[in-house]
Amino acid sequence: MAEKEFEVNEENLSSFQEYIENWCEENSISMKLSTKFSICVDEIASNVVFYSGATYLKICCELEENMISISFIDNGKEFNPLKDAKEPDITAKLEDREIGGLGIFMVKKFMDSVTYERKNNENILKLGIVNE
Amino acid sequence: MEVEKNIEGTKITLSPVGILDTANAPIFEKEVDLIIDSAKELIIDFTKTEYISSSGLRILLKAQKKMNVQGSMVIKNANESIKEVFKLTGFAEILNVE
Repeated sequence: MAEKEFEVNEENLSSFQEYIENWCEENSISMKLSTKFSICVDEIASNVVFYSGATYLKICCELEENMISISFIDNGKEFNPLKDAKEPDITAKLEDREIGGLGIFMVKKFMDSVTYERKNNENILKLGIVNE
Repeated sequence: MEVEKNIEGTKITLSPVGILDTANAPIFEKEVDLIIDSAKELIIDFTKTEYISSSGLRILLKAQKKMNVQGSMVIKNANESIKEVFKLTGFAEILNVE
């Protein structure tokens, strides 16, 4: 398991992605999956940076048999994206389209499992996908 | 991020180079805002774009709304990853993707 703690700030947005990309490369994860993770990291980490008030974000990457999991742990205000994020209307006409909720929606679509837990004043969001 | 520009009168092509994510979206948005008023035909060329997140989608949505009023906008050369994002989010239906 690999784990790294980051300070939460806008300048670190690219660092989160770089960390995941490097981990995927070291573990010979396909480019296709690595890109999916990068998009998910951007969606999750940008929420943490702009809305959570967290001071740290820990990212843990794990490869177990054929399952890859990446956990995001932050000390921001309680936010369960599976319950609290707005459900986007992806069939709305152009004029009525909104971006809110689209990021989390993509994360759920890309991953095979997404779980949320609030423990010790931390948000723990865990993504899982079957390795190819 | 760098955004390559090609301007032929009112036909304008913008090509974002790299990743269209939250960190880079403001740079792309600034370039779009700079040229959009003078565009009748706007081409977003994704030949050099690796992937896009919802921050990038927001800019495309805003540009498409505006271009529907004053001309046309088309997205070209999107890779599989970008096309998958368009498909998943229903953006394939509202954007003009070639």
